[in-house]
Amino acid sequence: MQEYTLLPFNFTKIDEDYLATNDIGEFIFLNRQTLDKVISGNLERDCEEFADLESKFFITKNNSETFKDIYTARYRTKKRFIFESTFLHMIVVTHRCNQKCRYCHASASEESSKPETDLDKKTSEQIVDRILESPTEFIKIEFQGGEPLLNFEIIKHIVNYTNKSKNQKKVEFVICTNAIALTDEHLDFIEVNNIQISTSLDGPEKLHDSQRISNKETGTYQMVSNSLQKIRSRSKSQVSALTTIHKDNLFKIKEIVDEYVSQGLTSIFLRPLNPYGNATKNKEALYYSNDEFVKYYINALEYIIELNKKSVNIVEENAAIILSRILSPFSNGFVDIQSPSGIGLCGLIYETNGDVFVSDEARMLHTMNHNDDFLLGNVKTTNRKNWFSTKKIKSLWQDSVIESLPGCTWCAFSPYCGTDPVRNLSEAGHIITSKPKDKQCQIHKKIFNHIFLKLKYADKSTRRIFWNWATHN
Amino acid sequence: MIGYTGKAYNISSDILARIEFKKEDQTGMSYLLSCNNINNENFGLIRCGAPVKGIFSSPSILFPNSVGLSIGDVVRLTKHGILTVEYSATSSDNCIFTTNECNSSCVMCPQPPQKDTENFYHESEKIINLLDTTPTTIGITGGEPLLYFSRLISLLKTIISKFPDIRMQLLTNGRILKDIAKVDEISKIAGDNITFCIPLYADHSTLHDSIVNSNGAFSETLSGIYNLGISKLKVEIRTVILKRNIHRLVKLSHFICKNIPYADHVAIMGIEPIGKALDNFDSLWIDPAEYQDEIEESALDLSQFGINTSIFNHQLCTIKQSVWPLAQRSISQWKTIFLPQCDTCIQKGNCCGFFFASRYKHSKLINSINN
Repeated sequence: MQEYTLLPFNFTKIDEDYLATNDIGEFIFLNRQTLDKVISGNLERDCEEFADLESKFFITKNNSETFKDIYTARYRTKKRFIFESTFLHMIVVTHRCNQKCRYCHASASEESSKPETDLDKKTSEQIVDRILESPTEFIKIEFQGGEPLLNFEIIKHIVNYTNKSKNQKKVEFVICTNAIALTDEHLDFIEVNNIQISTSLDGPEKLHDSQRISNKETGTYQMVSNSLQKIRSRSKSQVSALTTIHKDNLFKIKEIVDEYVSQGLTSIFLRPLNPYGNATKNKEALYYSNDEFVKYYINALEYIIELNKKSVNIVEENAAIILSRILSPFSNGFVDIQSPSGIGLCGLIYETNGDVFVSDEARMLHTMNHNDDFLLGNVKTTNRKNWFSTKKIKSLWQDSVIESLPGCTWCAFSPYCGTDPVRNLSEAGHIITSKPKDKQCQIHKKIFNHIFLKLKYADKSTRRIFWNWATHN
Repeated sequence: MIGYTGKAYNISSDILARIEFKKEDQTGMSYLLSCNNINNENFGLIRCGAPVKGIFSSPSILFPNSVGLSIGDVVRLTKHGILTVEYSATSSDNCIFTTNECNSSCVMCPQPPQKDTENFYHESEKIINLLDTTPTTIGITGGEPLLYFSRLISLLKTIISKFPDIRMQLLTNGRILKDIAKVDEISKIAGDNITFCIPLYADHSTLHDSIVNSNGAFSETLSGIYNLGISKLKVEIRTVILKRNIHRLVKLSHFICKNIPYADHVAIMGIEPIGKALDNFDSLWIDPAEYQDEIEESALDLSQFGINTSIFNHQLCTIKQSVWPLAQRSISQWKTIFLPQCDTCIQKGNCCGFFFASRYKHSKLINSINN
């Protein structure tokens, strides 16, 4: 007589064993023989696999209401980002920039170009009013550009106006800056208002300067390094950095990691090139294959784990996000890879003229091709309720529910994955991709594969590191 | 509960009384009591040392030696001359004992149900009414306190009306709370004041039910925990380490993080060798020396996840230093002893020590820490 009922799960072969995963994000490795027994109803009640499968909601002993209550609560928790809605609001304060990085996806204009195209006070207030219409309790406002520090006055205005108007909401601010023009006066305001700094560091001097050059075509590494030291000497400042991976630094990721460690940074975000703006113009010089990226990313991850084992604390943020989805029950708001997509739902971006786009990539697509597919409206004439009731945005979300997309629906990694309709449109010409050709999917699968294998064979110290990364936010 | 035996006078049935006053003289100590009993006597006396001369009609007990009493204590006097301290004014570990009946039958129960079931809800209300100091915290234990639900409700009402700011730790297996109407009823009276301390011995039904000796216990307990969670009441999860469940301790901690992330506190406990735990000691107890890694990983995982975590009943020399901050001085003062090798230990002041019953049954790792 069957001792248990099967609950829904997907599985995939990894090496000699099978990885099984379910809708609430639980995973288990089973050998073929056990998997066959489980599915055919013949698994013995007293074995440890039975205990594991029951504990993780792959099987249930009786059709009790209890397990349904907890199961559905777990599912709602994973999808909580839908109920909380837009927490990340990016405000473009200027298009002007003091650098002209060769891979710039933001298509920044010259520093000296007309500041009339900068974000003005009135529009900025209308933007904040729209932002505060978001139902979520926690809001993150990210200042972007060009180079946001070039319009520091409007940043100050926005911070002050928001603090006056936010009522019960909790608001965090982040400035995404190249940090080459960071002054003490900037840092005074930043510190008093608890603003976080997110900057770019592509590695030691030679690697950083190979792409990240100033308007005068000189390297910027020294200035960034000085700024980082200045920030570190002030006790309260919070700074993080990300690396844009391109052909020159892809093969030297270990040097980049070492640079981050010597700069006292405790997290690194290895971000692949976005195929927008200047990056597409300079393809030959910059691009690398997906296989290459995955290979070097995995090498970097191994190196970072080894450093952590020697008590050098540095988190790799891509891995941390994936581990958080695997090991914790919560949803995390990594906008790029959600189901349904996080575009609009988790993040919105507001242009200097008040136009609202569903994501940074959508804004760049508009700049490049005048693509209106992802333009929701303008803060001066419409509000959040208008934008979120359009057929346009609803179909974007519906078409990005990967649980119902062919290829994704039976994929074992789908509980931890998602899709980006904007990226799909720009790379494949469709909002929904066909799986074998989807480049993002290929990369994600390889990385998930690697992380699950690491989890399977993790020793005690690796488990401690992974748990720290998964819970550090 | 501490008890003393002396010679009773003028006591025909149990008396509950509060110690009002004490006076020492050349031949002994006298404690004057305020009584609450059927004979309408208002005063009582406890005398330690030489008896006092005089004619007495008040209930009293005479002890040859001193007894540990303080003003404000609530005591029970029996006609056999037994004095028990029901509530100690100088302790923060006071408990209200509701019943010795239980709907579970845990293999390591320190307080197994006796042959004759007894209920003390009403007595407990009397004890509450006698208190003239305000306790900040109080435990409610048994058996299973929820078994006689309406009596528990009455007791809670009494406590809350007298002490509206009190914090109560209700020790329960939570099974009866699978009925959400009961959760609502408690919530209305004392929702803000109670932490429900509920044991989970495993992350799956077969093992938990076998430890509890009751089919369906795991499912019912989880249901109760879930109902408390959605009602936003405070839940503390307790687990007891046994030979038979240690291999799943880390998995249990992950189960709690994922399914009960709202837990207010988790306590990982060692057994106290009394009651059934003493009867079955050899098949139950496992030396902490054998699970130093497991308890470290579980406690750190819970703690880093963000759940308030404690380790109870583990001496500091038996657990790794990384989890010392989580080890609590969890053993009630009146039960705590130390061993001779502890005299030179520099961590003695931070250590929970031993249950009196553990003095011959302890880890092979017990040793003085000198650096």
